[in-house]
Amino acid sequence: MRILVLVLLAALPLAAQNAAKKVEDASGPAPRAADGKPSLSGVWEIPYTPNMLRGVAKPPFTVWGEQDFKSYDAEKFDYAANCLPLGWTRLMNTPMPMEIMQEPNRIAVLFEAWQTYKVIPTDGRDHPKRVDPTWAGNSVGHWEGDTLVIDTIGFNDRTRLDTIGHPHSDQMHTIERLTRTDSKHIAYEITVTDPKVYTDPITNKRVFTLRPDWELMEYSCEENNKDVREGHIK
Amino acid sequence: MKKSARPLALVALLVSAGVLFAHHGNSAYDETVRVPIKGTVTEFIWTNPHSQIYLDVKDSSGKVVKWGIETNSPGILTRAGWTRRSLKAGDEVTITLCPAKNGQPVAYIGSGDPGTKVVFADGRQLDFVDKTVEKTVDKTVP
Repeated sequence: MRILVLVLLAALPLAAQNAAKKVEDASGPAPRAADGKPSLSGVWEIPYTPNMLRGVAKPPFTVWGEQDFKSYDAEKFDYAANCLPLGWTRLMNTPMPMEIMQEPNRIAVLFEAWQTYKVIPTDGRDHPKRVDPTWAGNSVGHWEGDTLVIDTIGFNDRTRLDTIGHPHSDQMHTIERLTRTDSKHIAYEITVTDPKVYTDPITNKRVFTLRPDWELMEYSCEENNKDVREGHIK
Repeated sequence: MKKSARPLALVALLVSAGVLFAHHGNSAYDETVRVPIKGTVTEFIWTNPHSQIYLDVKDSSGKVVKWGIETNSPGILTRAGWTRRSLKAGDEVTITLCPAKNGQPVAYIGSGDPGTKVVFADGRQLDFVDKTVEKTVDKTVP
């Protein structure tokens, strides 16, 4: 890509080159926190991802996984419609922004969706020996060079990977890699392994965009959730 | 307390239609099509998790049909330039929407469905394109 840009620049008149340079200057190098790590702090626009397997011709389902996905019907029951916790992967998939607050030994991730959060230790600890299942799982983070790696286990089996309902089980293990590629972007990659549901790991990549002009706003799943409150959908 | 102008008939309709809210699956709506509907706003409800527009629409025989159109949360709408005062009763609008699959006069418009929008009689438009800054950044998803 960079080579292509250079070739294009060489072909442009000077005025156009200056204009192009201004746009390029808008993205500077990734800022660093006081401890020297790349800073991921800020309000991030995260792309709505209702289907984490988009573009995958044949999802690597196990027999159980395929049957579960085929029989899933959101109209019969969707835990999200009932305002139960979205679960970790679906939180990352929403069309609402996420704020990261980074400290040397922990990172807080705040979500506008469901107005919820997770605090992830980055002090070198591993998962506890015994992890009880939870909606968002147990996460620990560590740095691999300039990439934050978040390792999460201990999910319950009451959530789904995404809005269209790809399944997972309580054996799910996610590894997320966040790399601040420049001042305005985070390259995000999540790998899901779950031997009960998928024969191979699933990987999904996205780009988060810094939005210094945004702030997280109030959200409530229950307020106008008439259909469920009035009992006419499950 | 002022009783809502929302007709009971519409509530009954929503009940029977089993409309799903877009914070989970949106399978009740046909998101592959965009249909323009012209009508008069009767109520705009600015609320989480989904705001709602109620619209009186005259069908071909002149009979008024009450439409209920669901849209995004106040957070998403604010970033797209909407306010709670963006629509008011009496506004004449054309709404390009994703209709319900079951043919009921309920529909969805929102950030996940590009091309859905509200256009006023004077040409002003409400849509779901971010209005907060001039975009110079590449949002391409690899």
